[in-house]
Amino acid sequence: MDSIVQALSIHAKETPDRIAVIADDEQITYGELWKEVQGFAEFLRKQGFEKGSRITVKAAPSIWFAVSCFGIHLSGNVHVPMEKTIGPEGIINIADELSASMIVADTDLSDRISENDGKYKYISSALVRETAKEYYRDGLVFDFPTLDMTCDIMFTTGTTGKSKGVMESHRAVVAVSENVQYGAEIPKDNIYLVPAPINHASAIRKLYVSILTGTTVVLLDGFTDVKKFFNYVEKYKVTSILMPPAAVRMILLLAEKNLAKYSGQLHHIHTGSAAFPEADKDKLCEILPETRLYFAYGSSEAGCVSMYDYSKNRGLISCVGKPNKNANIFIVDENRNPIKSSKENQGLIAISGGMVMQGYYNAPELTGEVLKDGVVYTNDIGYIDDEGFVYMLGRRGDVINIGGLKIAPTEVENVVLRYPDIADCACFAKEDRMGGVVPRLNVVMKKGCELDAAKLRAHMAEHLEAFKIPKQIVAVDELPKTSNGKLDRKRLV
Amino acid sequence: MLDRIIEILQGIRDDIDYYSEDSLIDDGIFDSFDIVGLVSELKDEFDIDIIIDDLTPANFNSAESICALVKKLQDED
Repeated sequence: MDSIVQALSIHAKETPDRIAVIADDEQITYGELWKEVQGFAEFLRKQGFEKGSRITVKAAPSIWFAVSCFGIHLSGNVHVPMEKTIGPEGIINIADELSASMIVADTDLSDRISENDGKYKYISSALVRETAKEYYRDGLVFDFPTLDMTCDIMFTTGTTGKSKGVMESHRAVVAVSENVQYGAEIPKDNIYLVPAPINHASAIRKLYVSILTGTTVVLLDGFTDVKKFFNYVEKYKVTSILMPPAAVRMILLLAEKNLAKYSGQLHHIHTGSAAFPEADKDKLCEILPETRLYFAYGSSEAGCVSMYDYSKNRGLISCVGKPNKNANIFIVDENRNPIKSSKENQGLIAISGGMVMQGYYNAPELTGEVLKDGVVYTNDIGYIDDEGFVYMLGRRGDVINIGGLKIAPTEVENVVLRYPDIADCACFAKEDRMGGVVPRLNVVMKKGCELDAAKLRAHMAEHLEAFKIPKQIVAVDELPKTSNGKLDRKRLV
Repeated sequence: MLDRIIEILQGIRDDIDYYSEDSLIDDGIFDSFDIVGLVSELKDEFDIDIIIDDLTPANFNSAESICALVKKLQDED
């Protein structure tokens, strides 16, 4: 298979009546979707763009988005999804930065685009399906995109804070979809609920894996509408769910019993893209005994490179599983030389394989820092054990160095979060009176619980080497968080 | 009650005019973490039980709609 849109064309012939996408309480079959995709591709072809033109799309969890996405791919152009909250200014900025040929959005841009001398065309997202139907006719012929053509440019903020456009080839998009397909053993009749912004890499990849496997995807606009989330699980007999760590925490706190009811129905839950507290993993295992629970490791630069079913292999703290179908994972030293790693001899995680990005758009220097000869060099500290399990312990910048002994804060935090009285915690370096640093632990206690530092230290001693146990433990009311709810390590003092 | 709810909301973000803002969820001003925090504060403060059927954007888009939800739940008690 060279592209997801090619898979779509095959499933449209084999199972035309199967539902492909559900969104906004509307659904579309493989047969209908393939027709609309061809129609939209024909519309784009008629615009006379050069192949490989960038088309920016203000994303929304809806059927028109799927039509536009695969129509762009089929016409040989590059799909660039943007945040749904982006304003007119941002849309124009990205279109300028990418020298885009067309913008698809629900924002009225008619004033601004005429100012730009028709540099790019604009179509309202509300008209995508209508236009597609208008341009469709029997007997349209297209060349499918080939493996090395750019498929998508995904915008990511990453750790530097500056927005980067990750270029993914059709090869990478198919490879990452296969990683998910084989990693999670997606069933033939799977119904995947994706309650996340569809422009995010982890979300759009679940659309892709569903189309690749000829199964059904249900798109929903995030987790804030908890009622709708459970309505959809029930109504569409959902069998797998994409759930980022923040969503897991939210559902566990607000609706644990409601989720527990679906243990028999749910084949798996896929979590990835951020640090995932061990305590939340334990809780999911407890309430969903019949469901597979995957934690996936990957990034926009190299997607879903490993998966770990923590419901089967309990107790391997910080494990991210074994490499997926198209991924090769190895550990390197500071000079990027491969090393034989172990728990005692950790290094940095490096990744090669089909799912590796082409590079950052228009940023060769930045690309060179991360990607060399087909290998993505991450800042993630890890090792591989004798059985081939990969462990990811934290980001390089977060590591606490105590006289040469290195402590990954997440390793300590994961142990502490398993202690019953603790609601949240953060481990960080604090300067001591001698001018050095000591590891310090701030904890937020659960309501009605008081900190007993000696007992907590005894708990840590069961799981951690002595030098990793923080010298100072302090109870605080809250921890600094970033706007998306992750621990803000820079503000810990 | 509205003033107390606004105090709670200001604890989450203090740069919003809660008397006029009516798209706290729809415009992404509050994310899922904010809602979790808010729900637990409302439960404690007003001694109410919030179930998933109440967890809709319409109920949480403005201070006024949150106030109406709390009143409704108190009446049901």
